[in-house]
Formats: sequence, structure tokens, C-alpha cells
Amino acid sequence: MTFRLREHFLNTKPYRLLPFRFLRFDDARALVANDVGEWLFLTHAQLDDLVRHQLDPCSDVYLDLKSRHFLFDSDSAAPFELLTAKYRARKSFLDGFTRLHIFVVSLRCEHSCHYCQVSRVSADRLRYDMSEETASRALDLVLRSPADEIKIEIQGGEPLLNFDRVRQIVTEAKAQAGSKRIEFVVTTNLAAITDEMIGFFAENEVVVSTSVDGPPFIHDSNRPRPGNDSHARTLKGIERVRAALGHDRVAALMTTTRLSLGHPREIVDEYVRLGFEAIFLRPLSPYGFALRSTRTTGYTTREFLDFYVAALDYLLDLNRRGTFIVETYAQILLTRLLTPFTTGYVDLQSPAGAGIGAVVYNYDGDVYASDESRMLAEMNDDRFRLGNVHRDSYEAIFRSETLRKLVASSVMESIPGCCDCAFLPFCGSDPIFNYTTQGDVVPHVPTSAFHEKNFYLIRHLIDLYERDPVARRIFWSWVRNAPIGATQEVA
Amino acid sequence: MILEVDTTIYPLDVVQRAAHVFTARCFVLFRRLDSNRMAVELEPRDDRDDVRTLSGEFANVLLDHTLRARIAAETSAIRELIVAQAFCEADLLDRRQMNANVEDDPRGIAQR
Repeated sequence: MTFRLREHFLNTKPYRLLPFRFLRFDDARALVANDVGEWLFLTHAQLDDLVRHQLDPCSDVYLDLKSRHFLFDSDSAAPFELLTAKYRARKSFLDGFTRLHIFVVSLRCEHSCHYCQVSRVSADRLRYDMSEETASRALDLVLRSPADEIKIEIQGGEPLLNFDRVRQIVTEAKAQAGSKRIEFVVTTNLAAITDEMIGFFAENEVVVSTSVDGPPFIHDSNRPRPGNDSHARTLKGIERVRAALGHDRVAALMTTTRLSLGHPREIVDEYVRLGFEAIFLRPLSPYGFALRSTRTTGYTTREFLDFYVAALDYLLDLNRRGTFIVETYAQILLTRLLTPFTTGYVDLQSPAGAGIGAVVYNYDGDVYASDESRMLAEMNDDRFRLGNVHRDSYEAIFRSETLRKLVASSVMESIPGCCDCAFLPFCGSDPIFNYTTQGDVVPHVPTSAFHEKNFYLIRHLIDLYERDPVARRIFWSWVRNAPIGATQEVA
Repeated sequence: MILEVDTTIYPLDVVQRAAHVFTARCFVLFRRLDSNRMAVELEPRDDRDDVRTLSGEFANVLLDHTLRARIAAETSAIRELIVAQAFCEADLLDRRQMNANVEDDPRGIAQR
């Protein structure tokens, strides 16, 4: 036994580091962020001092870092317990397993949208409709989900062209739900909506989601149909559904095409004119017909980001002047940046939401990990098909090797580039997107369009939040989903 | 452009992580020169990319990844413990040491 002086056992470090990542944000600042989503700016010198254990324990920056779990010392109260609880909260989207169940009840559609991801089939080919038995078997799987709250989204093609199936799914799901709470959404272009359908939606509290790409010259160009009156029909449908179900029971999404890029303000103005309080500025997806028509409808990530920033600037200006309207993707990112809570957005999760957050039941009973993997199958690549409702059990589908590999490939902590990124807690992974654009479910981050878009947007929002006090208040109103002044402000 | 890297200062893992950042702009090749040195060859994909700027950027990214490695050395075990504790149904934390001084570190977590 060797005896040593007491000094040998005294810890020479005044504090210990807790796990975090950093980014050299600009010439003056580094951004530090930890796994529970806390972040703050340091000077580059402060970052170096932090890592060298040379921060002054009486300084404001030390206290900030300690309170946000970047370091702990002998006065820290339960740092590991707090971090564990917060980490669990951020990953709570895993709780309950698959919550979003998408039914593709028909591939039929009378529109010919340029960016459509669906294998379009003309309206008279009934064999591309989901059968009654397929819907029932799919519902059996849906109700095996351990989640207490689930969402059933019914889409197509155009789902209203197979309305019997829509009615069946909603009716049977409600009858068999037991203690589960089920939310229903029907995604439709509204061109075929009838009073009977509207009455059914009202009776069963169905939410309607439709597409509005902007004013008529953009919408009708993107979404041609016989008569070239998609915009007019959609608006009429929105009015009728709102009158019966309530103003907030209709949501709209837009898809950005090359034509859209030059008109961010017109698109936002159309949403304001139609009384929507949210707009989701979605880029084109690299799937299905959207991929084939890239030359006419496509654009680079950089071009999309320029469009997005212009639209965001305009949205902020509108909010400043008293018009409350949220940009949905920014809202998702800001919720992750500013709160400890998760979001239900399955396309930006780690591990990815494919299969474990959302699943797709195709018209023929095939089950896919995501709508995008169904799109790939329509282009003769079915590697992400999980099974079929007529042949495979719940266990065979949701414990399949295909799903395990997808999930395993999408954990950002194991992806080169992502694992060192300060924005990891706010971002996510999309293995199907990676496979479609780069040929591998694991992305090559430096050349990934997914990375380029999300890194830029997260950085842009942080920058705005830090330097613009009015934008900060508007962002908080988006996170709370309430206009400034409607609720007591906390920031 | 060939950069000579002292591997006693920059471990291989650090050099690889730094080089990976540049693979969008460069083709990258490593060569071992001797037990303490390696060569990192960066060939710009775009001829307009200034070699001197690339070289400087690479040096800075190398420094940053060295810093990240230092942070990881001190904190990776803590991260693993937090994630494991968050997802397990048992309690992995040693409750007997709840009131212990941070200097005690009975499991040697901070000393790995």
C-alpha cells in the first residue's frame, strides 16, 4: 500500500464538462449545444477556456453554462438526473411506437400535378383502389400500435374517388378504437367533394388537408386537371368544408416548383387572403414523377433556400404588422430550439420516423416504412417494403430486418458529419431521401441536400433570433401557436 | 496540395474527421510518411478553389476536431450513461453517492 499526501487526491479541476458539441458560428462567436437542446453563444476565447477548465466560476458565462448543463461542479444539484429526464423528453416521440398510419386508398386521380409522387392512374381504373378486405386487415395492424393516440391519414391519388373506403376506415377504426384516441385526416384536392362527404367529415370530426400552391397562375400551372380549374375548385371546396366543419378544420400545404421561386410574396399573400394562419413552404421531393420532371419543375437547394428566406422575411414583416401567420417548418425547428419538447414531424427525427413514427398501407396491402419508400416501389424499387397486410403479421412487419436496418442507419450519433454537428439535437435523418439522392441510406453529409437545407435553416433561425428582438417575439408566438399578446409572453 | 500532419499532435481519427468535411470540395488521400507523420492530399474538385485558402481552412478544422476529441475524451462516458439511463427501466446511477463531492468520482467517469 502506498500512502500519499492529501493534496494528491484533491481534484485540480474546479468543474467537469458535460457532453456538448460546438460550431464556429462566425468570426466572433462559437455556438455550443448539448444533447438536450440547450444552446448559447460563447466567444472563441470562452470556448477554449471552458474546455481547458479555466472559466471563472464567478462569471456570468460560467453560471449560464452550469444552469444549462454544459458543466457541473460540487454545487450542482442532480445534473445527471436532470439531463436524463430532459433527454428522455426530447426522445419521447419514440414512446408509443408508430403513431401515424397512412392509408393510400386509391391511385386514381383526375389531376396531373407536375410534382406528383404517385404513379398516376386515370380515374377509370378501379383495380388501383384499396379493397374492403385490405382496409380491414390494415386497420387490424393499426390498432396493434401501442400508442394511446394515433393519427390515421387517408390519401391517394385522390382518396375521395374511393370514398366508400374512406368511410369504412373511419367507421371501423372508431368502432374498434377502444381506449385509443384517433385523429382522422383526409388529404384531398377537394375537386370531387360532395355534401354527403362533408356531412360525414363533420359527423366524424375529420380534418381535411388540401393543396394550395399559391394564386391561380401558380396553382393551376402546377396542378393541371381537365378544365384547368384546380384553384377555383379547391377554393370552393375549402369554403364548403369550412362552413360545415369549422374554419380550422381545413389545412393547406404548398409545394414549391420552379415557377414558385420567383413569387414568394404572392404565395404568402394567397394564404393570408384565404384566412390560413399557417403555411408550410415545402420543397420538391426527389421521388416519383417529381424526379422525372426535374428539368421543368426542379431547382437547386440554394435556389429553394433563397426563396424560403424571402418568404420568411415577408412572413415576419406581416407578423410585425399584426397578421398572425406561421411558417410551419420554422415552427418545427423553433420548437426544438426553444423548448425541451419533441415535435411529431417524422421526416426530421433521429432515429428516423420511417416505420417507427409513421407507416404506409398501400392500396394493394403492401406496407411501407414511409410514403417516400412507397414512391420508390412505384418506380420498381421495393427494397423498403416491410410486408403485406394479407400475408404478414404485425410482428413480421414491424420487427422486419428491413425496418431494423433503416432505423439503425438513421441514428445521427453514428453518421459521419452528423455526429460532430452542433445542430444534431435540432435536426434529423431521412434514410430514404439519402438513398434516393445519394445511393445509400447513410448520407454523405458534405454533399447532402438534406444537410444543406437543414443546416442553413437552423443557422438562419438562430441568427435571426439572436439579433432581432422583434423576430424573437414572433418566433415565440409561432412556438406557442398564438399571436403576440394573446397569451402571457415568457420571452 | 499535400499537407504534412504530425500524428503525435493530431491523431488519425481527428485527421479523418477533418478531411471528411472537405470531401464535397476535394478529393482526399492519406499516406503514412513515418511513425509520427502522415500526408493528407487535398485535390480541389473545382479549379477555382484557392489552394492556400483550402490549406488554411483545413488547418483550422483540424484544430476544431482536436478540440472535439478532447471534449469527447472527457464526456463520452457521461453521454453514454445519460442515454442508457434515459432508456432503461432500471436505475443505473449509483444512488449511494448522491451526496458525494464531485471530486470523489467513485466510478472514475471523468478520468477515462
